[in-house]
Amino acid sequence: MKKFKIGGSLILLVLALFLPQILTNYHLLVLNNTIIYFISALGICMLLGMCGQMSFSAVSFMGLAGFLTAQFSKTYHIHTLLAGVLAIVVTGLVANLIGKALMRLEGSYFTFASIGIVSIFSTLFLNWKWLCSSADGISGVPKLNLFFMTVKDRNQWYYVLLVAAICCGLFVERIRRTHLGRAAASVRDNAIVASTLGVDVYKTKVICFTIASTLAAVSGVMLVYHNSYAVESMFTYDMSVSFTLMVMLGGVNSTLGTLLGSFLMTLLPEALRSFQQYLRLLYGIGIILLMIFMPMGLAGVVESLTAKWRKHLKLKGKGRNNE
Amino acid sequence: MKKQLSKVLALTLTAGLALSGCADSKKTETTAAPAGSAAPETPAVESQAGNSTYNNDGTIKIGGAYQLSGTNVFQGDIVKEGAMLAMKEINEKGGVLGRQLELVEEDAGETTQDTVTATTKLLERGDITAILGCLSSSYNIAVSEVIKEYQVPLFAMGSSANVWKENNDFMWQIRVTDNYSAKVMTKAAVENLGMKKPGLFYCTNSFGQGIADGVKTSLKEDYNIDPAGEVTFAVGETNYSALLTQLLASGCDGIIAVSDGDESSLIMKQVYSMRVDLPCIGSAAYGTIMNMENAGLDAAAGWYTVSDWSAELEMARSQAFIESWNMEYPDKPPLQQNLYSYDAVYLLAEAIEQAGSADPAAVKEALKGVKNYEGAMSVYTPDTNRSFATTQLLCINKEDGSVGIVESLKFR
Amino acid sequence: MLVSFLQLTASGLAVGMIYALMAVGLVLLVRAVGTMNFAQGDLLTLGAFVAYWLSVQLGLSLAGTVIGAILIFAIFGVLFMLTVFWPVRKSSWPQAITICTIGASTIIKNSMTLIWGSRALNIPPILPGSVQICGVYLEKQYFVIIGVAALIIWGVFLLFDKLYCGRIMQAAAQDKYAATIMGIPTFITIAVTFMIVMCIVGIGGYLVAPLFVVSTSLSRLQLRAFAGVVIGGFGNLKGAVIGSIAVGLIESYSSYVTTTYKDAVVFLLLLMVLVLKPSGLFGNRISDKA
Repeated sequence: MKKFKIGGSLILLVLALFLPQILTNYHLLVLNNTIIYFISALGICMLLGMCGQMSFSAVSFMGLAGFLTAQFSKTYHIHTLLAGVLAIVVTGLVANLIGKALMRLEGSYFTFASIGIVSIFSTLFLNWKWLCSSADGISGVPKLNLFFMTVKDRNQWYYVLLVAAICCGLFVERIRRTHLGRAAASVRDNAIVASTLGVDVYKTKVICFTIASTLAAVSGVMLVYHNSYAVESMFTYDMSVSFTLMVMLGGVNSTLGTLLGSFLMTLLPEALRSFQQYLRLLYGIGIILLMIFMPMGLAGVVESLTAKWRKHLKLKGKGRNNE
Repeated sequence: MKKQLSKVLALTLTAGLALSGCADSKKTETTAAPAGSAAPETPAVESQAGNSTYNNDGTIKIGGAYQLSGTNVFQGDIVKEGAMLAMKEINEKGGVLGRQLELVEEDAGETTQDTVTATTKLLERGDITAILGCLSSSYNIAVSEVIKEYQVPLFAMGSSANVWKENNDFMWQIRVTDNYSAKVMTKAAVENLGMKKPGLFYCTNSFGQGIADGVKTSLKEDYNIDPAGEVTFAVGETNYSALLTQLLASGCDGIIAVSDGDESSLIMKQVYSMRVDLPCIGSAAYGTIMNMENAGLDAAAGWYTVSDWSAELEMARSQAFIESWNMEYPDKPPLQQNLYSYDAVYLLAEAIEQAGSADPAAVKEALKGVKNYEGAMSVYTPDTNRSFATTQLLCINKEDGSVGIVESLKFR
Repeated sequence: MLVSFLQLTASGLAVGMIYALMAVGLVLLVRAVGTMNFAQGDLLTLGAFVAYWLSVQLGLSLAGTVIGAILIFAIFGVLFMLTVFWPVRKSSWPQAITICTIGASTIIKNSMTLIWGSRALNIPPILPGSVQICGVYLEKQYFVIIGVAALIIWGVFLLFDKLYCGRIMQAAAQDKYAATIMGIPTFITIAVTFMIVMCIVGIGGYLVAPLFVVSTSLSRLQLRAFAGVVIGGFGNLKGAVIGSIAVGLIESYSSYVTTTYKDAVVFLLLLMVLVLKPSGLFGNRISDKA
């Protein structure tokens, strides 16, 4: 089974490498945006799927890191790669502080506090001149310079984003198998029992929040460099909602599921373009239908199907043995 | 596990780099329009290359990349209504160069990334002559790179100075930009309304901040006045009594208010219900009939505004526009923002006629050459910053809902 | 100074009562359904649009509008329950209901734009004009809002604390299984809860619309209502009301400090309250069971 999984993913990988040859600029752009959002959704997957906390503040940390990197690289003329790393580190520290404050709250309280964070940062992105330069944001952000190449065009971005996404995906998968991952899972399933078993619930939640927000920060830096523009309307509350939906659609505790979910959520509005003003209406109906019929997401559906198939095989095998 | 991880990473990195290298060069070979090189000033050569796509017998396609759904659909609808009316009129009169105009729309969505995607989708068709952009400046700035890459002109409906600061040859602004409007407003406040200690009351979005900054600079530099009070609010603010109380507490002798749509009607309502008896001047939204009706005509009366257009404008084209609008959309009054896209389409038609071709590069050159074109909103001549409108109006709201023109200012 | 204080208090109180109406609806739904309703603000907006339709487009009188509105809200409440809540009530993932309400929010918002267009509309106030108190001009609509909202909230308390049918509904909300055993028809109680919530919130929309404009931007008010519920202590009706009024007043008074960062101030205060007293002002410290 595992060999099948690894083999399958390698094949997908090779296919992925050849996509830019067959896709148009527009498709490539949509794909790039999908991968950027996927990285942020990974953070939500960690926080919601692994740790059981629903947060809507990913978009604020995307914005913070994005604006910081724009300021560092454009106004302070710091080398773009260094500016990006610096922005991610600073955002991670800020997220840690905010996480320490927010994680004292339980369940739905925490969710509302995270919505409040989005509101606060949104105001900052429009008004704090040091961070945003003007209400129209920072345009003309220099292109990302990765020493061996400057990432200018959509093809190059695709490969850079692919590498980044794979790294982040593997990173999250790795965490799942560490002590932190198991501690987070125990917090998600039953926080009180977890604390009796010696798990520091508060610290686990804070660490998960910080990691999730750092992933969002990476995503934000990529977004800003990709568009060479950082403005408040790039980081809306609706995006956070769609990240949560991506995770839920794909399978709340599955990295590959989140990838599938990201594709679906980004491709769905594009596919519905012909419906023009009915787009959002159908989108809303789609969400409800998906929750009714696939609450565990696509990964959940796949899992239940494979379980049925395995059971079917087992029964068949048993039948033969009894003969 | 770790070994497999590193193997996978190494494989991806090398393959990715190798392919990105080849892919990059391949793409630049296949795309006809070189993205980085300077646009040659010989439209004839390029129009020959794209001749058949742009200059056949079919319709001339104008792209519309504005919001068709979502939170800002109101802005998108405004651009759409004006553009469609203009196209209908032009097509009824025989079209441009004997061909009909066609509007090809894509939903610009909620975020600027979505707008870039929509614009890229439109441009990828390869048969779009020009694009009509969004009302909001940041959405125009976001697509700056894409239109430069595809070398297709865009009419930005936003008025922020940051749009022309992009120095993008393909980005054209139909409106007078905020830096000018701010000066007009300041002059009116100080000279016409006699304010010596104005109170600034503005929205923190790009429009509000742009004008407010300009007003503050103008007050200081031209009249050596500092505003007595400065109160800001966010878009979508609903509770103005608290904010107005703060502003009035500063002892100002007049209110300079800058905001968009809904906020304007609420502010006028609140100022009226609090029986504030100070001279007030507002940005264009304060003189828009829709907001005046929402505020109540009594509340809106007496407000001065700096507008791009008023229904009282005595230009033949303007009156014709009002008639045509009332026939097409009898249940809603025309807003001045509808005229942005209306006149933009007419300007494009004029440019296409002058260029004799629907090729984007030719049209762009022809736009530069437009001189004193009489539109429904203003007389148009582009300046060095590619902004077209040459006039603005100082208006006053009357009790019967009409907007009287106090002074018409000409910039060039 | 007194003038501005009165002005701020009056407007803060009026807006706070609207938040309270939404908050009461939220708490009732949490009790009945178990999750937060992210479509609450859109239900408020729907109330405003329906009121617009009845009073302006159809031209009905005040009585006609109110009766028509209540009928429409009741029917819509049941519809809302059947499409958004009922199919997912036994879902394997508890957050599914929350996500469904998010979907419902999008649907309602866009339907309203498709039906009534995207331009902002206007309703005349129930009692137009303003009245002068101590040198301050306060809109009469403020008093209408405070009065009607107070009446409605008192009615809700009465229903749930004193009347038998209210206690049935509480029982069904607390433990569905036990309630079914006792013979309480849970479907009907939940449906009635939804109807009541929709009526409360819809009337709230009708009350607030003359103060503001009738447009989808009204749904932004729901965040303040959430804040009120959370400050007051989750699941606590009295706390939700007091919390919401507090949020309305704080919002008003915060303009003394800053007007640009008003949102930030409100949420920072919310966070402070939560950090200092995590169960809210009136929340019961019920210890969780493992």
